Amino acid sequence: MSTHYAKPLARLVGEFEKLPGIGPKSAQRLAFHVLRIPEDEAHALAAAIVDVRTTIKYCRVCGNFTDQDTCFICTDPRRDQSLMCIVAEARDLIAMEKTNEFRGVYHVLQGVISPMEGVGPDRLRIAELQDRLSGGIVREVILATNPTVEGDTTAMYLARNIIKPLDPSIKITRIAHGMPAGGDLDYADQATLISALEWRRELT
Amino acid sequence: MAQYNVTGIVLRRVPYGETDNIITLYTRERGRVSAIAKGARKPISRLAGACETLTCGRYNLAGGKSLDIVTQAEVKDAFPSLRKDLSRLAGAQYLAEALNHFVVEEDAHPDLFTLLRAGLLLMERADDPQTAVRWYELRLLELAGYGPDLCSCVICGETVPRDNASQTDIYALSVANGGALCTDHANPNGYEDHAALTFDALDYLQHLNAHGLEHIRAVAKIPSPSEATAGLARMALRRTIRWRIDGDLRSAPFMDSLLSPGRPPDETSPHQSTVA
Ligand SMILES: [Zn+2]
Ligand SMILES: [Zn+2]
Repeated sequence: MSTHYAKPLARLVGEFEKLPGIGPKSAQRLAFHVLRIPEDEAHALAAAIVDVRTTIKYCRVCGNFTDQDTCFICTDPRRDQSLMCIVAEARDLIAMEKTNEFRGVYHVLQGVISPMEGVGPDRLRIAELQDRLSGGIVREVILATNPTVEGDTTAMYLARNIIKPLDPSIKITRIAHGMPAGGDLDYADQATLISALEWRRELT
Repeated sequence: MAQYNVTGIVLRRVPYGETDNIITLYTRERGRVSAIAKGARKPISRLAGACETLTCGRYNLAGGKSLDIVTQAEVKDAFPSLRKDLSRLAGAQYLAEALNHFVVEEDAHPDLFTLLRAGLLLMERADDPQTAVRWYELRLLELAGYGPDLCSCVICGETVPRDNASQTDIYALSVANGGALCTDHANPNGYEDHAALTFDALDYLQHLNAHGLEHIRAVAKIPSPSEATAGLARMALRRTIRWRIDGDLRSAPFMDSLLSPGRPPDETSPHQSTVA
């Protein structure tokens, strides 16, 4: 590669190639794009990358990304501290926030239990969760992990092995799964239909 | 692009890019096959269900540049009861990982497919999931060519247990030789190769080993042994697998913590093995 590019360009292409989902072709396209944009935009891009790395850290309470000690959700007095939504990753928290429906607080596990990949419960933010739940403030926990093998494993583990033994009076719920909005019943597979039936709701 | 149809079970699913998955299938027709399922992480994807780990399905694959591409997929069995029981789901993940370690790409072995499917059905239905795992391990070792001979001593050939056997006899499984050791040749504390077996543990493993792939209904009914027997059987087979694949299965500690709670975690050094 270095034989085809000037050295600084080769370096940039090389850096882009390290990004997830970026192959050599895309890396070259991005690098050429950077060469075409005005110089101040290039500076802004470089500064944003450095800035995010130096200022963003994990919220001390919930594990969300923040530039403060505690994130804006945890410090918001209008948030219902008795209702906690547990998510695997900060990006899941953002997805939930985009609904504008949830008014409780979050706990970000920063991963899921993935036995086959060697990720056990000890690698997740479970000690922090136990600390928060033992305060007696949280009355309901919503487990919002994906309906995958790893997501189900994590949700069942938290419910049975962590939350129930700690405080059996905490209500534990799991987000519903079944038919996606805009989905076609005719094409739904067995697993989806079983979930959809199980999580059905009475119409009133 | 050549297209082909296979029936397989998803052993592993790794997210790739924004919405894709790379899945590892164990297929009846071609053995292990890896393929990319484009868009399978979108909620409305028609591939999502069939491309989830521990799902048995029918897959249409097309030869791609580096990886085959899943063009169509249909769920045959999603083993839904596994998703409601944490320890059985953990066991099922162990079964998939174990098989993945004993197979190579594109080497068809239909009996291994049958075994995996039987193993997942057993994880859903067996009275004792731990017994189902031990049976699966024995069958997997056998199909991979490493089945231990549990009925005679690998050193002297004497039938075990001996005729006038007593409940306090100590036998062993020779991990390296893949066979039982009689009371005279078993030296559980002296040789790192010997995994100790009590009379009951040997009897339990022999009983499991007598059940072939066609006997899964009977396997499902085998009651759980005593904790001591279960522990020795687990250790003997775990060490045999470790010897064969030269490493540990990553999902074993999590499964053990759920299926055998209260037992000490599996030793990592093969040096200590004591009779409980
Ligand atoms: Zn926070
Ligand atoms: Zn002997």
